[in-house]
Amino acid sequence: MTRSAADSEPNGGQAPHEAPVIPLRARLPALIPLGTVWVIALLPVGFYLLHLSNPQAAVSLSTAATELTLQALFVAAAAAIAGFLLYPPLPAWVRRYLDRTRTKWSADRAPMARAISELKHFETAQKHFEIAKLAWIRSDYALVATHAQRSVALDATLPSAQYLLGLIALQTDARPEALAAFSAAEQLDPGHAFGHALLHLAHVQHLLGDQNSSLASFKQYARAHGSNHRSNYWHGEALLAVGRANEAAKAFQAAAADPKARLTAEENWFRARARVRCWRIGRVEQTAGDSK
Amino acid sequence: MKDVLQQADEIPITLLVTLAYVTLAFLTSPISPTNQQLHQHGWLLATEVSNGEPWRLLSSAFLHGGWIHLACNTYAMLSIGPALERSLGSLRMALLYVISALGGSLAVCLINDAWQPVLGGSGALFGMIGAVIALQMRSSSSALGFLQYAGPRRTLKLIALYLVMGMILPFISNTAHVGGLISGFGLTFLFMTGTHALERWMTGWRVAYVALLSGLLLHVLQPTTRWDWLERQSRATENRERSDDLAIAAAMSLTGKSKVTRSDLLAVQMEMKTLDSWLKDWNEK
Repeated sequence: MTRSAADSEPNGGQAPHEAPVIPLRARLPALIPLGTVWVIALLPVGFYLLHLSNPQAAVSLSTAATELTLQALFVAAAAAIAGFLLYPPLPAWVRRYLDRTRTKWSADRAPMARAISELKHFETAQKHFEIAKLAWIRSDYALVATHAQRSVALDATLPSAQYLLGLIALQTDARPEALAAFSAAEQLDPGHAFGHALLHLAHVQHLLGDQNSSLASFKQYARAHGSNHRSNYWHGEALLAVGRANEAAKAFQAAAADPKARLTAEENWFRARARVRCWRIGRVEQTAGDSK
Repeated sequence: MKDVLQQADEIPITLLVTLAYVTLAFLTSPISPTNQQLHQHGWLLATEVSNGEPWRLLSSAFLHGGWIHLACNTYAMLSIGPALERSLGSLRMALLYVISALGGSLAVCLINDAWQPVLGGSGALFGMIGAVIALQMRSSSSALGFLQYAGPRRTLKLIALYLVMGMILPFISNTAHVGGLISGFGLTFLFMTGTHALERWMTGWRVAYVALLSGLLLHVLQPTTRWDWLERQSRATENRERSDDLAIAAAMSLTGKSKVTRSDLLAVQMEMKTLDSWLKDWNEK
C-alpha cells in the first residue's frame, strides 16, 4: 500500500492520534468493484477444481448460474422500470449520483497533493482542514475524517473544520459527534456556511429525537436564512415526528413546489422526495376519509 | 519513415512488432494468404486454443489476412507506437503489447463463436490506444480533466468510430478491439503511481488484475463447461467411467438439460464429427 500523508504526518511531539474507524457502508463504493473483479477471477478456478472431481456438477452449476444471472438481469431491468414509474425520486437520485460522480472525477487533485506534501514539513489546523475539504469533494471519507479530526484537535475554534467534521460524522452515522460538531460550528460563527451548519444541526437534533430543539433550530434557520427545498423537507420530517401532520404536509408541499427554474442535483433530490411524501400524505388522508 | 528509423534505438519494440507483422505476412502470403496458411501460422480459434494450442492467443496478434489489413495495422503501429514507447519505456511497451493482445484474444475466446477464426494486431493496437487514454487521465489534474483538450477528445471519437465500423462490417471483431482496449487501459493505469485518492487501493487492484487475467486464461485453456472440449476430453481419457462422465457433461453443456438421454449423447458425438470434418475442410481450402 502506498503511504498517505495521514500515515507520515508529524504530530509535533504529541501522542499519536488514532485513525477513525470508517464503517463498511462508507467503504463499500470502493470495495464493490474490486470484490466483483475477484469473484470473476476466482470463478474459473472454482469451476476447474469442481470439474476435476465431478464434470457433470460443474456443467450443472454453470448452467444454473447462467440462468440465474439472466433471470437476475431481467428482474433488475423490470425493477428499474417499475422503480422509475412507482418511485419518482429515482431519476432525481440518479441525477444526484451522476452529479456527485462528475464532481468527484473532475475535482482538481493538484491542490490536495500540494497540501499533503506541505503538511509533511509544517502542520497547521488550516492545512489539515484544506486537505479534508478537498478529500470531501473527492468523496474520500477516510481521509476527510482523519484530517478534520486532526484539524479540530489542533484548533477547536476553526468553525469550517467543525462543520466538516459534523458532515463526515453524519455520513458515518456518528450522530452525537455530528451534533457536537455542528453546535460548535454554529456557536463559533453564527450562520456559518450560509446557515447550513444550523440547518444540519436542526436535522441531527431531529435524528437524535430531540424534536423541540430541532423545531426551534428550524425556526431560527427560517428566520435568518429563509427556506429551500432541503430545509422544508427536513422541517416537515421533524413536524411529522411530533405529530403535527397538517403543518408537516404544508412543509412538504413547500418543499415540493415547482421552483420555475432548474435546481441543483441536491435540491432536486429533496424536491423529488417531498413530492412522494405529498403523494403519500394525500393517499393517507383519502384512505382516512373513506373509512369514516 | 525517416524519423522512425532515426529514433530506432529508442523504439525497438515498435520496430520489432512491425517487423514481425511484415515477416509473418511474407511467410504466409503478403497479398492474399489462404486459410490453410493462416491456420498453420497461428490464427486464433477458441476450440484449438483449448485443445493444446495456447500459443494461438499471441500468434494471432502478429498475423494479418491480406495486404490492406497489414497496411492499416502497420500504419497504426507506426503512428501510435513511437510516442507511446518513449513515454512508457520499451519493457513496459512490450508488456503492454503482449497483455493487450492476450486480453483481446481472451475476449474472443470467451464471447465469440468458438469455431470462428480471428487474426490481426488490432486488439493489441486498441490496447495501445487505451494506454494513451490512461496516460492522459493520469497526467491531467483530475480524472476527467483531459477532456478539455482537443487531442484526447479526438482519440475518443476515433475509438467510437472504429467501434461503429466494427458493428457495421461483419469481418471486424469488435470483441477483440474492446478486450484489447480494456486490457491496455487497465494495465497502463496500474503501471503508474501518483497522489490519486485511489492510490491506496492500487496494490489491491494490481493483484486483482493479475488474478483476473490468470482466471480467464485458465478458463480459456480449460473450458470446463464447453461441450466440444468436454467431448474431446472424454475421447482422450482411457478411464471408461471418467470418459462416460465427461461425455454426459458434454451433452448437458450442448443441450442445456440437467439430465441427458442416450440420443443426446449420440447427438453430441455426431455434432463433434461434423465439426471436425468441417474444420478439416476449412483448413484444406
